[in-house]
Amino acid sequence: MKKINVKNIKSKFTFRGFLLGLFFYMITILFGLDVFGYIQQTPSVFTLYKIFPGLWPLSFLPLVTAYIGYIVSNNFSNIIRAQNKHLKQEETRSLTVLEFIDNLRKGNFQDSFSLSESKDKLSESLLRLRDYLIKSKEEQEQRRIEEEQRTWVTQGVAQFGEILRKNDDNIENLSYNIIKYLVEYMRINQAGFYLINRTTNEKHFELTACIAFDRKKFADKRIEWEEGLIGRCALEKETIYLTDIPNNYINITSGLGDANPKSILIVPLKTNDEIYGVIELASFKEFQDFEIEFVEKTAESIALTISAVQNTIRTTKLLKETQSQAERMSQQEEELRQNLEEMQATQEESDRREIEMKGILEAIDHAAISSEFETDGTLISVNENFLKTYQYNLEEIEGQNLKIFFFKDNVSELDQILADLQNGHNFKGRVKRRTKMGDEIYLLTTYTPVIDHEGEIIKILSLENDITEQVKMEETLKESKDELGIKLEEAKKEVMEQFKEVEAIKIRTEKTLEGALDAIITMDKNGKIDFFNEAAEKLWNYQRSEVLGKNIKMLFSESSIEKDDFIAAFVDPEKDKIIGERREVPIKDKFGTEVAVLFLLSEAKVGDDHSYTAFIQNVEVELF
Amino acid sequence: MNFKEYLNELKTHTPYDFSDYSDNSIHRRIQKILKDQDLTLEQLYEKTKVDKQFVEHLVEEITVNTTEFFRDPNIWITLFKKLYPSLKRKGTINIWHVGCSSGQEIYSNLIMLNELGLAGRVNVLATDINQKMVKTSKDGSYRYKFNIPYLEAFNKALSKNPIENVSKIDWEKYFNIDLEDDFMEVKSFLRDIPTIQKHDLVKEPVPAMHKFDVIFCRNVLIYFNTTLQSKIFQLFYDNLNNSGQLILGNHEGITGFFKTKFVKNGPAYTKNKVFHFKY
Repeated sequence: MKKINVKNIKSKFTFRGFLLGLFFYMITILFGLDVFGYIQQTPSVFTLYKIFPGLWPLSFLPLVTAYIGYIVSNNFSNIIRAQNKHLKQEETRSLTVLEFIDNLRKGNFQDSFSLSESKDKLSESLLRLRDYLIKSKEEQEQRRIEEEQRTWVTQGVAQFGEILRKNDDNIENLSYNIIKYLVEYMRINQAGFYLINRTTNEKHFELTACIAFDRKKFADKRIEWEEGLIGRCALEKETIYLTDIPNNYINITSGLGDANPKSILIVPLKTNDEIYGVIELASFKEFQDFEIEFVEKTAESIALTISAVQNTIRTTKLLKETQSQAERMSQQEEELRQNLEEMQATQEESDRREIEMKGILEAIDHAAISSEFETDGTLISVNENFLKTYQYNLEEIEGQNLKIFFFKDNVSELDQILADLQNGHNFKGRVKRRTKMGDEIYLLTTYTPVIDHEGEIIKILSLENDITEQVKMEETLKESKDELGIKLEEAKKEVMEQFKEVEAIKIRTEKTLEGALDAIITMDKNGKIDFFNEAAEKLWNYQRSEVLGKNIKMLFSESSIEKDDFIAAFVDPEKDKIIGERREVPIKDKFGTEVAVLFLLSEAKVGDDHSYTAFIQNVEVELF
Repeated sequence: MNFKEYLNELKTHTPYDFSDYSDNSIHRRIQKILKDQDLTLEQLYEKTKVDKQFVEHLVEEITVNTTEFFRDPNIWITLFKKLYPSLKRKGTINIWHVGCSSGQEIYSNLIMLNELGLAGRVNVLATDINQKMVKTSKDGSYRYKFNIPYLEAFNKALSKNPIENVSKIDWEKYFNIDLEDDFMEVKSFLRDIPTIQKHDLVKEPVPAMHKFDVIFCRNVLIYFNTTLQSKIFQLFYDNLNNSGQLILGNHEGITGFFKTKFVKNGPAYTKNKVFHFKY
């Protein structure tokens, strides 16, 4: 719409009003002039005025109409002006609105405050629109941020999932990879992974991995179950987020010095309401909610993974245990079998011995008198032979003591025997016992204690032989022996007498032979020299002590023994000697000199005994 | 082929002579091996001829290695009561464990000797035909849970019947015990004492230059027939010092002519000092 010039309107309208008035004036004048026609006067305006005095005010008509016009136009123009103003206002407003809208479109929300002063509906609704758009934008922004965050979270979770999946069942590596990823992804500075150790009686946390400033740190850290923030987090199973860190709580150290973190996030690793551990993150910035949410989200996966890994480890361990148990069982089975084998072999050995034993026992039972009794003498068992020998019935003997078989005077012997047996000594010897009838019997008895594996005597075994007959015979023998003894003494005396006589004769003979001039030697059948008289001593130059008892060969030289058959026969016990002939033979004396002699041999035979006597004469005649 | 033929072949082709082992026992053992390895006797024979490794394995399977710590505690106590007085007087005590199996007997003995203050004077030889058992003895490593009852049983018996004021033995002194892994190992000061080696009692000469004061041969002879038993008794007789002691298993005893060569002294047999003509 064309801008209507207000001023023009006013002047226009005033002029037009004036013209209109003037027009009406003219017309009136004209009409008035017409009147002259009626009155036959010259039309003059002036007269008109005189005739019509009303023309005077009428002459002001143009002024009036002009004035009216002016007023009207003024009003009009005021209205227009007002309208204009209004329109202008509207225009401005529209412009503002347009600008506003444009700004809104462009997204500048701050520059539209000028409208806030208007109170009209459009403004209000526009303001509302603006607010709505602001909110919308903010929301959009918000959503974008959230979208971004969500994407960040999702991606993070996905990548994280990869890490969890790729684990090699080693908890240390896994925990290290987890916090390394968190540190990088979240761009924080320090993280620690605390695992709950339930293997000992008390639960506690172990720091299994730790990173600070991108470097893996090695720290041997153990935290007790309810200790500190970690403990509290695990106990309450809730995340702890701190922004007001006490000075020495945690140290992020680098080469440039220590620094305190701005915020700490401690998240429990839980799944199904069970805690496996705690992650502690420290950063120089604050943690956003979505970051916390991210960690909490991953915490569950981590917990699950840890649970799975621990299960795997446990299962592997169990499997190994089962395997080694199976091995052990088969070993045990083998051992059992071997035990069984040993028992069987032992049993067989025992059986073999039993058979041997049985044979021996039967023989004993058959041959000897056997009985068994306790260490105090109470009878345990006896065999048939026993009963027969002692003349008792089985019933009479049961439970009796050994002393019933002793004569009253001999009972002390029993005590001595029992004492010895208890000391482990065997008894062997001849004993005298009493039968039921009171007869004396003699037995050759052995008592042997039976000792068990621990060295205790469990019973005494008695084996006896009835030697009563023998004893009786012995006694008879003894008597005969005594008689014989006396007789023998007498005979001995006689023999001694005779012997003395013989000795006397022998001495006389020897003395005779001694005195002979000839050398006389006597030997037995084996060639042993028995007699060597003085003349022989002179001849051979031997003392008799040197030759008596020795062999005859020493008296001759070897060559003569070989060559001379008389000598050969003489010295050889096997050969027949040449008797009763005088022969010349060489003899060898002590100094080796050969001397020729005349040898005469005579023989004396008494039963089997031969004795030879040789008479020897020296042939050499002393030349004086 | 029957068992006897197989054993003869075994004797011919390998250094092992089982032909004088007790029939029933050796048959059962071979039967077990046939069953475990799923072989017939002929197949076993073939394998024996060519595979030396298999033969060693066979020997390990045939031998029966049952043994325990302080087997029959009361017998051990009686044994020590009887042995100790004579051992105390000696400067060196020479001991031979024949068929020592996995070694529990050796260490039981050494523990007791140590408690009585004699461990410094002993010279211990332990032998077994089974190479695997020799190794186990040398290692001295046993399962805790399985063996501790035997040790405890001995302590119980000892408390009722102390030997020279020893009434209880502290096992920690002699074993490194690991409860978690169920394992106990004889400490090295004890393990270093014995010489443990593989030895075939039947075929090889005694692996020592001296005679022995004590020979342990428990539950070994039950697997031999009487001929072989006599041969081994003679071997023991020849290798014991005068008044040396031979200790057999509970159900074993000396048979035949050797009954006079040894004097029973509780659970031990003492070599008789009386001069004997050789039979």
